[in-house]
Amino acid sequence: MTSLVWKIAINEWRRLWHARIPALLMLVLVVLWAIAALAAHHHWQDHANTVAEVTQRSQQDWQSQPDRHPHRVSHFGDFVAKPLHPLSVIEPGIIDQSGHLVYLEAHRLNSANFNPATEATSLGRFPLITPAMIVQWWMPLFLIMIAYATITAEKMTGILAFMRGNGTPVWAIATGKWLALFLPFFTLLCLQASLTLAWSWGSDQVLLRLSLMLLAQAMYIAGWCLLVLAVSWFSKQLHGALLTLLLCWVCICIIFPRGLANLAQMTYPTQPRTEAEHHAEIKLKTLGDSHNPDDPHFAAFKAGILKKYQVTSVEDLPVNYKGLLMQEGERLTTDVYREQQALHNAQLNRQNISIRHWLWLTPALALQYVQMASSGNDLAHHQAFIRQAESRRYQLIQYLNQIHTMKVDQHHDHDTRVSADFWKKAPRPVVTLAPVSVSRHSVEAALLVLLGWLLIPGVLLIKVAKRT
Amino acid sequence: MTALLSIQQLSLRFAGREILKQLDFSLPAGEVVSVLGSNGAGKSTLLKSILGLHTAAHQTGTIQIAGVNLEQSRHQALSQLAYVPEQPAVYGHLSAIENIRYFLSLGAISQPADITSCLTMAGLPEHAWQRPCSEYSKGMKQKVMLAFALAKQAKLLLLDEPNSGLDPQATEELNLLIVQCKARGMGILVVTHDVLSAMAFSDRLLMLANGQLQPVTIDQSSLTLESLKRLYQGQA
Repeated sequence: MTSLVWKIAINEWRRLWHARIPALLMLVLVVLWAIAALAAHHHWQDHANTVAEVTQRSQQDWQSQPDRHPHRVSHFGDFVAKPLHPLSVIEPGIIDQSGHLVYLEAHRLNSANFNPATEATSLGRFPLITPAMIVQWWMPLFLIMIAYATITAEKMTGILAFMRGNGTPVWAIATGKWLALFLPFFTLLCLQASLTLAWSWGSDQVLLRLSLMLLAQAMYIAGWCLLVLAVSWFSKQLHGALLTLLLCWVCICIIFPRGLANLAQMTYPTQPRTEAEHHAEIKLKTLGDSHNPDDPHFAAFKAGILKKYQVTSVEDLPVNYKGLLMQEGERLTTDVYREQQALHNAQLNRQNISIRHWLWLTPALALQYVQMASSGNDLAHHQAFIRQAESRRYQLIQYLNQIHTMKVDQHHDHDTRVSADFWKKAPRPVVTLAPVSVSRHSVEAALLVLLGWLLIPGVLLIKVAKRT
Repeated sequence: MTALLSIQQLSLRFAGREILKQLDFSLPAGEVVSVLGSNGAGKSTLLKSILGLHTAAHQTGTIQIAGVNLEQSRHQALSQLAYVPEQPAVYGHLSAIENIRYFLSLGAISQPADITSCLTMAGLPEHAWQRPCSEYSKGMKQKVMLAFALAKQAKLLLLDEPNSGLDPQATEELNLLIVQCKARGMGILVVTHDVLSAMAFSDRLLMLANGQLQPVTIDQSSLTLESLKRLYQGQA
């Protein structure tokens, strides 16, 4: 029986080859994919070069700072680049919207963290064709153009009835035709995965990430093949099959993803960066003003310090009081900024959850979720990066404030220079790419949707095939 | 002798309309039966029932092909027959030989006859055998279909409008071929509108009307368009 399926599949390939246009379309798709791969690789290389260059220059600039006051160092700033996984070549995800470089400075909000989650579903990536987009949008479209007539034409020419009437089982026809459609696309996906594996070998979780991506892509294309066959089997006329499938494509690939993104942004709007900063400023004012001698928080803080060191005046402190104020101020501002960040993240997560609830409407978006998670360029990875960057900033600034407190004579605060050796030893923990497990919820939901995407057209195909 | 095709109490209902009503029919080996009927009478539907293409939900009754119950052993029953649809069902990218070889391989025929001798018998010129069927005329494609039926060594042949769209020369050749198949002992059921051809090769003529098969006799000498119209309206 397996040979029966293969015979049907092989004959279908011969038919498509003989028809010229499907073969030509397949060639165009391969060329498009190659262009996308080259363009995306170039784009990734640009990003990677920028990351490497900025990291190196930032390191050099930091290390080459002269002896100076620690507070100047805290405002010298530090660049952190998000590590890019080589799979970003396939799916750059939200890099272009979220940014991948963060400037870290004392009591300042990070600069690369205030884009809405809806960017994760963005169609604003049209200018850059990526291999992920080829799989998500172009492969189904080309599949429709190649295969919409597969069964309809055989119904119209009587071949289907002839085959069935002469004893060919309907499941063998359906499986053979499906295999004929799926295998060339799957081969292309495997080729893409093999090439990516070869040049990204040894990178972080590459096997797991690539397997996840390939699995999702294969499920997505397999589902499209089933849908194309089901519609083709159901339709009586060629133009009916083509129009129905094009309508499915427009809904699944364009309207639903964009609609869900817009709906999520409307339901859970994220505040822009300027607004977040404004709210933080207001909150900070309520917490206290270190320059105001009557400010209750800082008056209590001062009293606590004097008590701790058992002195009556800050002038008598063995440490630099301004440094202590800096530490306290940084603690307060960081708390406020982290609170703002948490609010923003909560809103982004609400958007994401809202989209996930309707993900079953569009397997294209489900695939995009898995592709972005696998390449480390989804919202969860970005938030993990921001958390690491913020943690690094806080550690570094408090280290500098500590130096300020301990090494700068408070009676000659403005004139004091601290040895550059201290900057060289400053804690600047390396920011790493978060593991793929940070995107577990998205990936699980997406894979579930893709499973449903296989089942629904599969059942549909069985039903129409039995009926005809 | 076991009938090659035996239909008992066959009823078929679609969308509340009864297409076939408790139909009984039998076709022995070496006999050609033509079924006439107006458009929409259910002629092609009857063929689809014989091929088992209708679900049990719509159909009741028993169909046996060469003694094999269609519902119980569909594959075995269908291996006994060859079906030629109205549109010659050949792949344009394959040659006549490739088409026949391909369809035979799908039907899991244990011992097919020699394809070239079947093509010769069907009257397809040898120079056309290796050419893609997209270059064939409809008559040539019909011959490929009949060569397939011969190669399959089917006992029962079902033909759906075999002469539709053929010129007189091709029609005559096809009629001759049907007679040859009959001579080989095949039972042949033809669904057609072509009364003249049916009269030429049939042993029995049946009219399908109101879901029932009724025998009809036509006098060729007095055949006119008016008499045909009356026949189709059941007034003859």
